[in-house]
Amino acid sequence: MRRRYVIVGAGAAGLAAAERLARLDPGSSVILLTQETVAPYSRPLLTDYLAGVATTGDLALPPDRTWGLPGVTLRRGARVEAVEPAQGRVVLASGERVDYDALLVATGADPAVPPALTGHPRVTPFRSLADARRVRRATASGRRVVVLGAGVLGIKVTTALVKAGARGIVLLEARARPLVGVVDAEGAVLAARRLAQGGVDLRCGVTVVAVEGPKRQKSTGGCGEISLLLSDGGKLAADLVVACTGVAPAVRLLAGVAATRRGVTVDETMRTTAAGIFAAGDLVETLDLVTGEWTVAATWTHARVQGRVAASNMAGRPATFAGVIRRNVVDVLGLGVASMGVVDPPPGREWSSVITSRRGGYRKLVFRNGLPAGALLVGETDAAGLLLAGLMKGKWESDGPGADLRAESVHRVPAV
Amino acid sequence: MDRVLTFEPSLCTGCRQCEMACSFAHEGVYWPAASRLRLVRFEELCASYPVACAYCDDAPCEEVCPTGAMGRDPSTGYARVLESRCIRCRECVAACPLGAVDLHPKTGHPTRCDLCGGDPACVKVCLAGAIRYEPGPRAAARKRRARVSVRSALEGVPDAEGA
Amino acid sequence: MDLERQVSWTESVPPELVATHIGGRGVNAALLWKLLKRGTDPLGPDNPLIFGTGLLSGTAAPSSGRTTVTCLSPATGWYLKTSGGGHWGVELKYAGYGHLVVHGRSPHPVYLWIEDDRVEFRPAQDLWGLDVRATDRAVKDDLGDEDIQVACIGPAGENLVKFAAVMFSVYNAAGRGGAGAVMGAKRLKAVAVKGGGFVGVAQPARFAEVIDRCRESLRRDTGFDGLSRYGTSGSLAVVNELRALASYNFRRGHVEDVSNLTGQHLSAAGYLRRRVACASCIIGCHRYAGVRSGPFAGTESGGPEYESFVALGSGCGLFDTEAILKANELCNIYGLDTISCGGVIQWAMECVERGVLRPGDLDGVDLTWGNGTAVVEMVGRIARREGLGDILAEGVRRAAERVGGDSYKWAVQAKGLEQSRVDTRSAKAYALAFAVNPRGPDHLMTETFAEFGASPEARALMTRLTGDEAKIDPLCPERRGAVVRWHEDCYAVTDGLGFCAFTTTALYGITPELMAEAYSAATGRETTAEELLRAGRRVVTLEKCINVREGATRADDVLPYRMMNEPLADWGTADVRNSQAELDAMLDEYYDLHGWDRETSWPRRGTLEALGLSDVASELAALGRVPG
Repeated sequence: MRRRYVIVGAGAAGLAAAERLARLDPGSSVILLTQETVAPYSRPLLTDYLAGVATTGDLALPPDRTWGLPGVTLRRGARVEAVEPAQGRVVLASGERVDYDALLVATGADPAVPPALTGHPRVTPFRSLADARRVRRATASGRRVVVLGAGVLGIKVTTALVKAGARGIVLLEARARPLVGVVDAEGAVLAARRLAQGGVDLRCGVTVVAVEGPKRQKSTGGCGEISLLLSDGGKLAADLVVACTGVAPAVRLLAGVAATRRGVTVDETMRTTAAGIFAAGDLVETLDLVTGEWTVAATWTHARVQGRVAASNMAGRPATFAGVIRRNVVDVLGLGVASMGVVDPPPGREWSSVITSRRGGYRKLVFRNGLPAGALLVGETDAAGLLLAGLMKGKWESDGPGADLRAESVHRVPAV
Repeated sequence: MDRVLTFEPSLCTGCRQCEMACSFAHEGVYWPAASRLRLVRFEELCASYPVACAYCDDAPCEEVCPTGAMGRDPSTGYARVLESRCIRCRECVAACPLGAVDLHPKTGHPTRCDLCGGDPACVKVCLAGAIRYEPGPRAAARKRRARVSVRSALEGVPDAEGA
Repeated sequence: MDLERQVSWTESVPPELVATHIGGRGVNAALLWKLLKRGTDPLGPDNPLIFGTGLLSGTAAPSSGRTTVTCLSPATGWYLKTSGGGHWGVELKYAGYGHLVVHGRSPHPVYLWIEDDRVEFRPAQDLWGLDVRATDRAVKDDLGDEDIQVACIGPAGENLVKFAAVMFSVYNAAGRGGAGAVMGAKRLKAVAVKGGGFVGVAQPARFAEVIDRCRESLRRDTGFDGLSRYGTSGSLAVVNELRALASYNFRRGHVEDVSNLTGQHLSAAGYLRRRVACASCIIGCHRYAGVRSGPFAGTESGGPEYESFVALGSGCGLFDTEAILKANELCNIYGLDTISCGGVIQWAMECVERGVLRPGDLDGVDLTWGNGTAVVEMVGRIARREGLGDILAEGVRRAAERVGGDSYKWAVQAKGLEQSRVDTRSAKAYALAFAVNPRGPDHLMTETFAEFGASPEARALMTRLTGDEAKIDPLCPERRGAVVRWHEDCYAVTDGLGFCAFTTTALYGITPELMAEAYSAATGRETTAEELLRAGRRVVTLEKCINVREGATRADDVLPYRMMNEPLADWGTADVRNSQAELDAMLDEYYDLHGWDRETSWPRRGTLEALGLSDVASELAALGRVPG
């Protein structure tokens, strides 16, 4: 009997799962449903597209390794409205029902745009290719862009905009400093400095309270600029606002079907609490291996691994996903930042850090109860891969980059 | 050079912020011994005199260097030491009439004020106004004006004597 | 260093100590607790002499170059910390050391030479007897280098004058309490340092940004310009208006014309040669002044400071600027604390006025009020211990014991230390601070200058500490415990980091929050202002415990007789003094706030344990001195 697998979402998790299923269960039918009308593309490369160093062709993911595999059917423009677990099928917006033996929900996450801006025609998130196209068009025609959110995505978008030739970018951040959770206080100062040097107007501790406009310009009949009212009382003129203010897991499909909190609850086999239904990617909650807390780790690489693990289990081959170690690599206008695990430890006797600062590079290794718990590299990021491998193994080699003590100034911050 | 560092030693309080700022800007740590600008101190007189590269025409340190390590950036005019060419012969140290070329305490290569690429760090931290970055003639004009007006107001000149 | 065996070694400061005691004065105190045995003779070989640089000394943090000297005081027999500015401490830090601990006593005069890794014991027989300026010159000649920093004693320290100072960079005194005599008793003439190294911080970009804010905050303080332009003596006229200017041995708080004693006068009359700063300081309050003509022509020296003008000037009824400049110069080059020196001289003047000292006792010196030549002459005789000078050199408590009669009544001292020139009768927070200060009635551990409400920043601080703007009145004795406590903690943090107290408790630009940020960026260890102030609390408590170990009780927390028994003149009919009842009320509030036993003043066990001072508690418990 030919097994039928249905995957909702053709992002990192969905594609990885499709590929895995096609290989593990060659006689099966894998149906990949995506609401997007364009062929699947690499989301992380969208900022390269914005910067003008990649074309849409460069973004496309090769079908022969994913949805082009035998047994896999990609259906574009197929939005799934509901899941009927008792009947073992999903319901499309068109009303069509698609049966499954095992279902993987990989709908990812949706941009979380602040309420004051939601739905405004001049506000765009930066999640899909359509979003990226819109921002690229605005930049090309010299429009004034304001970026909301100086987290990883906001910084990437800003860097791409500068590379594309945009000037006078304003970057607004609600929190007191940029890249919260990714860099510590020193890293934040270094990043802020680099942004300032690059002509980016970074304003921290500021949110947008309201949007006015666009005003119609009588002379041209076209649409003029909008005005952003800021929480510090200021006003900002803009043509386009790019909201990089985080994502919310797209759990709507499974609400009422399986357990969800902020994300969908899964075990280490990526099974949800509903029988026969798996979830993987940006919409699930997994264990942060360093902090021991449940978290939504919206990262392409994690999603791929989770998709493969889900697929394995769907095909009856046991596999586990233990959890995530948060990692980010960001280029801040040419200043490299590589960050993993916990880099800004809370007060407490079990945390200690080793900091090496020298010209051109700031490096911080964080330990919890003497074991590696996180690392931050700013400037010189070559050792990031080795440090991440060590972090996953639970130790850094004494003569590896984790113990590089040749720096001129080393500060051991003990657990006290 | 349209602007240079000018010094007014009578205003210098000897706080050493300039040496700290210079070494921090170039080395990333607070290291007066590696500062390109140095204070000459007369402890018993509580007097201090800043000394840094004066950007001479036909600079003796550049002329005497056998390998061409001592030079200037051709486009900006700021001093530049090519450490890869430096053989640590120390002729530059001997040649400079001001003692403004010193040797780095760790590498042994010459250190020389490079005006921080046009934005000198020392000037920013000198609250006493003893170091400025300005066209040379302006310092002389300011000194003349200060002396004349002060002399007419008070009995004696209140600063610079004995410095 | 061990001066007896002429050996030196290095030890690492345990990193936990940086978290619990910060640095500078705090780490010094921890070391003293461990190294000092109960009942040690302060002038004997077993009194450890500890120099400590601030944690941030050597960085560009503004005004962070202060150095603390810690030991048992020969003047009081109690705990002593005394701080000095200049540039010596920063040089020690660049040489790679945060602290210098001197053990033992050298059989012959010696001076230490520290150049990075190199440490030498050098003979100082030829230096013995030289004044401070000459010593500085001689050491530089001996070592063939102008660019070294010298800490030394002058003849006063050699002669074990009870208020001999340790002098840094010629004119900067670690003055109070007689640390110079401890150095003299050890036959240690000088410590010369040269450092070719650097000081790095864990998070350089963040640290640079924090200290930029410190600089800005300091500059914006309303008192900055005045302190910078006119020095510490720039506020003399204001204090006179407040009727708190200690004059005629604390008999009066106000004089008709104080203008000759002010920093403004130093500038306007042409005595000021230049403004001087300690290492990394952006204020530059120190002076270098000189006299060109008249009987004191040729005088040239650092200073005078506020306290010096009041101790050597108005305190002695002397209003002749040039005589004061001369007396100040002599104090500097002999190596004497100006406060105590002026204190004993004015006591002697009152003795003369009251007939307790007769002309035959004076060796021809006319010690009448306002006689500048006499003041100048006595400074020298004190330093050389000649005639009456030998009695005065013992400090005013012992001098009064020697002279006898009622002279103790106008010996303005407590615990054996001459009171700083603040009249506590009209400044109640100072009164409490002076009474509880472990080293004696002195302002340099708890500078409650804010109680005068002299600036918006001071008023804001006082309102916050007392919860009531109406309590901003130096005559108000209520809630003074809270005021003193905050200042104690803040000052301990200040001294631990190496900041000058002028930046945190006289100007207020460098707040505990800024200090915490600077500390965090420097060490890489995130620390809040509360945690830092708590470390300050720990240091203050430890210092108290050192005194408890030596036998201090509540009975020692008193003020001088005159403050407690004689109302301050110039207040009309009001009885303005520090009565026992008023002091008791303030002490009760203070001890309660601190968790110390009211009857004995000893810290309770719970208090000590909460601060992580259990080992201290155990040692004191063995002496039966830890109340439950």
